[in-house]
Amino acid sequence: MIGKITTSVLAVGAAAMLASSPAMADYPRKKITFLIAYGPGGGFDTITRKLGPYLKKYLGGKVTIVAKNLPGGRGKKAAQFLAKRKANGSHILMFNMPGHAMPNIIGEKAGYDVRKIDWLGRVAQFRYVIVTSASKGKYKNIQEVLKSKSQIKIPITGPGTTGYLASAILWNALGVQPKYITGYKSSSRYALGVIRGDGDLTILAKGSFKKYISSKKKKRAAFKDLKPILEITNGKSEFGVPTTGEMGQKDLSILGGDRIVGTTPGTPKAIKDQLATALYKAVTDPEFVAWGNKVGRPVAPLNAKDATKLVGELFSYYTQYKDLLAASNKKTR
Amino acid sequence: MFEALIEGIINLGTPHSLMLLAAGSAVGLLFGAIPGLGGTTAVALLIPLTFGMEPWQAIILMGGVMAATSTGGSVSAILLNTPGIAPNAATTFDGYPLAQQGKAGMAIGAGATASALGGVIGVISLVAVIPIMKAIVLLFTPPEFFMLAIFGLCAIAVSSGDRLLQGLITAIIGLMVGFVGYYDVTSTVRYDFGIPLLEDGIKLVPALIGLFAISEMINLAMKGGSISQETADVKISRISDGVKSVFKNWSTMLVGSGYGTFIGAVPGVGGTVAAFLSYSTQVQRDPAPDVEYGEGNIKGVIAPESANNAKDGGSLIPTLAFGIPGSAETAVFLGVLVLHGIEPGQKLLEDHQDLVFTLVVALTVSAVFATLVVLILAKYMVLLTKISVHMLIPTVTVVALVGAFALNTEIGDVVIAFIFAFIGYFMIRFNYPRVTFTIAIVLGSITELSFHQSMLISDDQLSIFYTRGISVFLFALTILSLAFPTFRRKMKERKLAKEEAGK
Repeated sequence: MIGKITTSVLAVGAAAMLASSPAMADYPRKKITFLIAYGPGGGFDTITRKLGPYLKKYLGGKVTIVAKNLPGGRGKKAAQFLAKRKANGSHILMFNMPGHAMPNIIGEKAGYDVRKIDWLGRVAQFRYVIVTSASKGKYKNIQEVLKSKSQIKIPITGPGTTGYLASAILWNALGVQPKYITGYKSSSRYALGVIRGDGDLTILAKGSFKKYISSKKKKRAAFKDLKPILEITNGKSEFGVPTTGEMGQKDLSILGGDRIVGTTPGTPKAIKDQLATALYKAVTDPEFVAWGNKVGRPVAPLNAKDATKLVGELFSYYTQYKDLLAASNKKTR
Repeated sequence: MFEALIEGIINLGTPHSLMLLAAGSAVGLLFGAIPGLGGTTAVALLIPLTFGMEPWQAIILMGGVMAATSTGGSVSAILLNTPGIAPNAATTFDGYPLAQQGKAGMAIGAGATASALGGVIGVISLVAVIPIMKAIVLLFTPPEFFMLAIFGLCAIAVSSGDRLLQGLITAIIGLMVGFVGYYDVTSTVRYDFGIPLLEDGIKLVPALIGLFAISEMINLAMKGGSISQETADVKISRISDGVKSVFKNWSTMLVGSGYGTFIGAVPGVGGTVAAFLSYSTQVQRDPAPDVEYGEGNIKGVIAPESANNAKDGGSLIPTLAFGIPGSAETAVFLGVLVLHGIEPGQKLLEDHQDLVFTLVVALTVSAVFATLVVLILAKYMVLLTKISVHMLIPTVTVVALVGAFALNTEIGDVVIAFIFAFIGYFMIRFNYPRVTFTIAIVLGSITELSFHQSMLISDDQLSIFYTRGISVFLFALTILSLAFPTFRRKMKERKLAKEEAGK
């Protein structure tokens, strides 16, 4: 009995101490660092910087949100940095999923574990479309690609990158063995590679593809440089092309990217909840939503619970392809 | 298009806009001059300030920064042998020797004027090629990149002068340095020895800071005195001599501007390569110079400076044609447009022509404005070369190291700067050329990448290099550039022999 009382007293005491600890009492502190895993100017940089002021607004307006680029190791450096911070909500990072999870999935040394990150919510997501050169494309449609006897060449970033992995899973599912022309630094570079005829086709995020569409021309005439031939979705195609869903490949609709914000593992629940609530409000702020729609990067809010569930699902999905991913990651010539 | 241009001029015509442009230009000059900071950092740091602005106002501010950074960088390259930003590295080769000879004013005058003219030519070229800009961007594919890089690497032979063996040794080491770190084709990390810092490769800016700035400070500490070995007072008139020299060597400036515009238009190459190619072409075009290159030839300042400024206009060509940034600064600039709700790409030129021309006007005016500021301040700046080493060395070393650190707030970059400082010092001490070392670092990775990609595209058929028009043209140009100096020298020798025989 005495033991039970002691345990209860200790538990209550510990809880009280935690509740009144300086870390929580004055949270949000003066500064929260919103880490950016890539250099200035890219999609992650832009959306993080845009989101910062809205997050500040819903955290009471007194805290300063500092956007800080920490590029390196293809995004790993920022995640490692976040994982090593004190678990007090002072640092947050928008993760690139599934890219950030890959080292954990294939068992590579990463310095962080996405399964242990405290997830706060999702900001945006993107899904893919397969595109070919509008003028130099050897293949007019996806059927021609699937029937082709010659090897399909795909300009892409290096093995292990998000686009490469999605490509590897997609073409594996469709029974095509393509040859990858790797080494392009970004999706806009490999898209240019397709336009100038370095390869036959490639995979692009829909938002990235939209910048190649002319606003003055309607429908198909708008595809002057790149044209879509396959959309990865279970819904109706936005561009009037066949979809993976229609081809019976329902599982592939998960392929894409999710921008999910997380904080240091072990962050006290009260702080985590406060951050997650503010993040959700910021992402659903009508002004932020309108901006996302205007620039072709629509928001896709998910609360902390659903985001955590999504990370688990993504992890399980990509783990199925562990061998394929590990092989593609190690592929060298 | 004309209406949009007028709108651009009107946008810039208000006192508020001019103030924004001047502020951007000043920030650009300062961030360009301080080693390690550079235009990308300046544009990124100013982003929060633009939140409350109209898009065209943000564009004016950013345009001001972008056009001024390389002009600012030329000043530190000339005065302190420290390229403010990587594209100014080639300027140090002749700019600093000029400063040592007490001709810093002349070098700054030439550098600033070449920057302004290069900047303006780059922007005019941009406007002129808008109807055919897509075709220009699509001209260059990996085989052409490879041939272009080989053409640039051949400059190693010419730049080595009579130290060919030393030149080749440093070039090989430079190539090895360029291969360290993550390789995009295979996604593998090479030669990192398990050191996380090396995973992303040896960063160019800290390496250049060490190789040029700090090594020079070590050298000065050993020698004592001041940078300028000329004891006479600084002659202000030399600034105007520098300005005049650009007009006198107009072909150098035009070729440099052409390089800048063209290389700028090709995504993934950048101002550093443009400046080096322009410099090496100049060396190859002029096999019997009045003053040897590397020893203070003014044309060695004009060539890279016109190129690295013309790049600003050129790098907007792929941005407007395909929404692809042509340089790191343009990438951040595109981010600013997105933050302001403007989607870059096809729609930028279709729906926001006024904004495009506001940027064009801002870049032009800022290039001229930055040059005027530099020319006005030059007479005070050159005093730096007269300062005693006791004051100069600690100041420059601290600023250089802070610059190396500030780039990525990475202490490891400071270590890199130190290592390269000692490499640089020993190269000075034992008379090994740093030019060839730097050319190899800058061009090594693009040579390897484009060769590897060409092989992937062609299924390992080397014919890809000689069955494409531009690639063949570049190959021929490489052969010519290697043969031309020898041919000209032989002709000169024959002429001299004939003259002597005639006597």
